[in-house]
Amino acid sequence: MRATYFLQRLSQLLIVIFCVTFGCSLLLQLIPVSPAEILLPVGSPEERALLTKEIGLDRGPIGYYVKWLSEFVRGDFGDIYYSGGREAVSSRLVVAFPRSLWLMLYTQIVALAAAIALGVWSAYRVGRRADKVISNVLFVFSSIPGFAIALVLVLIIGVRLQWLPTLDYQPYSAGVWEHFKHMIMPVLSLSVGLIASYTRLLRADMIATLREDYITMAASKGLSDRRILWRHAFRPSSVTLFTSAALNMGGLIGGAIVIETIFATYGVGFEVFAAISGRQYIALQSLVGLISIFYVVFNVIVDFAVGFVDPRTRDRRVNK
Amino acid sequence: MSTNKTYTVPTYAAFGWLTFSTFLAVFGPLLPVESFRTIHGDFLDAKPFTAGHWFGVDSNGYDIFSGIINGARLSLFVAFITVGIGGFIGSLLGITAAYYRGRYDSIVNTAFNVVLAVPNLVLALALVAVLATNVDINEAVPTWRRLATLMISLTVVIIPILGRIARASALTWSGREFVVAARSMGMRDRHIIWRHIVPNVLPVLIAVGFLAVGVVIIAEASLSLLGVGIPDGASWGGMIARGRNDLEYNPHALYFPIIALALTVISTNHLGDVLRGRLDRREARL
Amino acid sequence: MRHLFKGGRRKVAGVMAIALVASLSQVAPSNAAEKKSGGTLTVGIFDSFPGYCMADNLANSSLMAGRTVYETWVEQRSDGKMVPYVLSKVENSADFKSWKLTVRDGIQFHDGTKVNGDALVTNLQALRGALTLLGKAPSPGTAGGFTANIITVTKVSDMSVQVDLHRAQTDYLETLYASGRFFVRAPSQILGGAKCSTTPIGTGPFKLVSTKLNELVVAKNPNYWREDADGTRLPYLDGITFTFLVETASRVSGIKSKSLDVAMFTSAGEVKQIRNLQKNKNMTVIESPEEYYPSIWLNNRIAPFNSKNARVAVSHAIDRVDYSKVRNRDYTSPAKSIVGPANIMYNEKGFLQFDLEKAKAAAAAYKVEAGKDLEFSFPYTAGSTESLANVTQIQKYMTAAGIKMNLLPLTTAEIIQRAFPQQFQAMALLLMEGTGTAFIAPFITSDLSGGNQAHLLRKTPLAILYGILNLSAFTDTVSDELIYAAKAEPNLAKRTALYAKATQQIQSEARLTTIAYQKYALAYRTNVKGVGELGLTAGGKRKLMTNFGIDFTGVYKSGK
Repeated sequence: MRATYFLQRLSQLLIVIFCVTFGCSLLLQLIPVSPAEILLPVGSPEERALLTKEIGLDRGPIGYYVKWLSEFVRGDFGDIYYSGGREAVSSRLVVAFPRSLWLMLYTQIVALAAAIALGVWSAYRVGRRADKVISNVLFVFSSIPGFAIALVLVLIIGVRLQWLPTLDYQPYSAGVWEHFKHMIMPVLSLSVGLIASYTRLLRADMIATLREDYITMAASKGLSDRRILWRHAFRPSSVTLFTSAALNMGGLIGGAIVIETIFATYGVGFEVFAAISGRQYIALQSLVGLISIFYVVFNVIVDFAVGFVDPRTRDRRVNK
Repeated sequence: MSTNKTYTVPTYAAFGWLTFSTFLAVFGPLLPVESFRTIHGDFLDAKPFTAGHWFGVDSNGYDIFSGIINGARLSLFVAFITVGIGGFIGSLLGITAAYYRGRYDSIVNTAFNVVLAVPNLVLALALVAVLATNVDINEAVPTWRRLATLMISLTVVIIPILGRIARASALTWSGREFVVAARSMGMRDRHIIWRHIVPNVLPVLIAVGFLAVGVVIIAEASLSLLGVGIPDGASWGGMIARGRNDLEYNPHALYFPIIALALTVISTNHLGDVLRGRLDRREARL
Repeated sequence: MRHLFKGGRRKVAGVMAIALVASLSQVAPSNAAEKKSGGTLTVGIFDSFPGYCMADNLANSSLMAGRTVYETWVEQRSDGKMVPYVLSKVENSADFKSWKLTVRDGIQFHDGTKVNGDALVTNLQALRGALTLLGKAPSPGTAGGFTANIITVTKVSDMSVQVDLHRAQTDYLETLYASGRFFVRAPSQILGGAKCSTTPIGTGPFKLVSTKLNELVVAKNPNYWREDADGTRLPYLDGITFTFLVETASRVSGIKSKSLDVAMFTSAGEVKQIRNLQKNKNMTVIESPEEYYPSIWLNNRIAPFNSKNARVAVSHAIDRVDYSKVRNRDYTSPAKSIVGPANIMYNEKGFLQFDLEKAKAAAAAYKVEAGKDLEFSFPYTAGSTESLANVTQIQKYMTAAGIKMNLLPLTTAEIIQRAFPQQFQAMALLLMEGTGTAFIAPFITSDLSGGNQAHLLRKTPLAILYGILNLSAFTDTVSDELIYAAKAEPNLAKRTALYAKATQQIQSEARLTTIAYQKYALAYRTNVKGVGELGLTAGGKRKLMTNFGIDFTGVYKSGK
């Protein structure tokens, strides 16, 4: 039962990955100019022909895709081309990927921690002043785009107060504080919007759970409010929250383009942007492929995690 | 809870702001305001409340008030059209998928998943980059085509978001007794969908559609910041991108478009919420 | 050439000289007791790193980064004269057709190999494409065009090499310098195949540690050949990190928030920021002289600018004074010639200044001639605020003269890709610079080999490389011959007169035009010391500030 479900999900997700990457490779065929011409602006026709052959563009859409895929699964994500040479996408990802990963992790941790505290609290105080204040403040913040928050943070905290550096990324090896110093502002700008949406999700589910009979039962047995909230109500209410958080992972890794540009964090999102503006379509295809794999993998993880947290969902999903 | 009263002051305010900006969007060109493209060489960096330039002038010499009015037109136009078209296509796919189920449903569902697997901005960026290329370089890609490209890209982003919600909602409705009854009576599918499912799914879609308008406005602004938004930086997002370098010296060049954008997004989100709240209560009564 | 990797972003520019003297006086006096060694700097730059091979043209601020790893055979003194640097001696024949270059003894590359005559030969042959033809080295790219005047390169002794030229060139050393771009590269890099672009091996004070994404990290070269006046081995710094930050706001907030120690700026679109930083107590701002001449290139090969009327109309239509005021806030001066007053070719005669009536008349004459209204397309960098504002300003002048100018929003990559095959009808690009003509003549002569039949690339597909540098794509034997004659003329007064005539010819034909000149600025925090203090080995000093920034060899850090 579990195994078949697993296989079924896996095949669905593989189809998604296939469609995303194949779609990308079709985009390459749609460009009105020959890709070799784009990659080698001042090259002779012979050089271009050689490159076309090397990339596999002479094999037609399907032949090209097969060649790309066979290299992709072996970890060869293609090259970025410039006039004098080329650079492997993988060698750039080695640098960019950890940056995005940390950024995404910290953002999720901050957003979830804040959202759980605020969500549980406002569900507990539903309709009271605390609930209203939290809801309204978060509502306003969720409507201000993250980049606007980032720009203002740079001006106030970076330039005026000089508390935090405004640019660049530092790895752990440069010192823990150095590392975090460079992460605070990007993480804040990314998480403000998430905190609002996560809090809303958790609050709504908590309110529903708190109305269930077993909670009334527990209360009548004289259990403390704190115990009821955290032990009995929070776990079943957090499913939507964690599902939605997991689904955001892929997007945070590849989609934090604007924030990465503003703070010069230069993670995967910036790589995607650079590939697009530099018209490095082969690199773009590999990057989008990787991001979609991330999305899919987290999808699977959340599926099973949710099943673990709340066995009812698993059965419901299987029977769907 | 705020949803107990249907129309509160914020609701009127949100509605008022949207009406006002829609008015600006529609009648902006008729107002006695100079073109936003006029360069006021003698008023560089003018502060707000300068005679003739209520909102000031940015460092490039563009009047900010004209920019806001013109930006209202483009930002709202793009947002409403994309959500409209995207919502239509998405709900068409979602509702029919939910109704017919089977292989068609799984294909539609997979297609939604495929598009959702790519982050919004990445998808829109990639589409804009490919679609806006011209073969003859000296032939300028006309503004309308670049605008159309942008809108197509954003529509593709919106389709699965609204499509999924339409599908989920239609799924619950097509299991209801009256639909099953209609089916067993041999009523035509098209008729059932049109008469029984669409009217029930539509309110949810409109509510979520309001939220989607906010998503599109922010997405367009982000694209502008990356240089591929509405052509010539004419939207609010474009103004923010322009004002970025002026943040320290001319903060008003940045604050006015951010405020306009945030107010609009707050309004659409709020109206979406209010509608949802009403629906939830209707559901509860059923 | 240095803009091969940059779009219209900071191209159209402009205006007005604030004396270099003023900035020189800001350099803090050095304190002999101060401990100078150690420390690292973070430098914000606005150009990306294309690579390190012959074809990879490092632009402006990324050239500053590249020049910490690389040095040049000759170096430019602050008065503009070329003096030997990695070379020790330069001798020329009386007719200026033969040059003997002797390499300085005791210099080694980062990989430990010696710099000698063989290394010099390898460098020169690689730049002119000889090694490419043999399949030994990557393509020289546009550099192949700059060396087109060479007939042979011969090693005469262990440490010296003779270069024979097709046409006499009194300024051959300027060509060898190529405005700071013809680096001393190790033969192991040049002959290293595909790695040529990613592994720079030079003789400079710093070695490459890593190029990651948008960061270039260099560390002290412990075997660097130069010492300071006290006998301390240079450089002082342990390392430098160059960060590519295309947004002006990022560089400004970076240096103000102490994330950066040094940041570079250009007058094209960043005047306001430069002026603001000048007022900041924690900052020293130095400026380059106004020696950079961004041009509006009109494509003489295709319609509409194959018609002189069209070119004249556009040249007359531009209000250069107004442009300098509105776009550049009078920070740089409006153009009165295709090059600036600092250049030997400067001549106001024949330059078509703003004259609306004449512009309208020429546009009308074009209409009679071509049977349609004058209309052309002009590319700009999509998403760049300055770029859009610049072209919008020009568009305004065109509209006033009844000329239709269509704007082409393109990505930087696309502009570059199509600029040198001369595909645009017109475009703005900064190529010409300096006081001499080594970095000017190649862009405005029809055949930059001067008819050199011995030129190696002539019969190869690479021949395209020496035709494409002239972005206006014109053929004019009159101005060509004047330029060749001037280059051969040893007498300065006579040479200047010949150049002036060439300039007048090009200007009166309206081959290309200029709106405003450009300069560069560099801001550094007060803890950065020693900028511009180190002299050259041959006496004198380098220019304090250029389009490729400052020299980091003698820079050190002290205090907070």
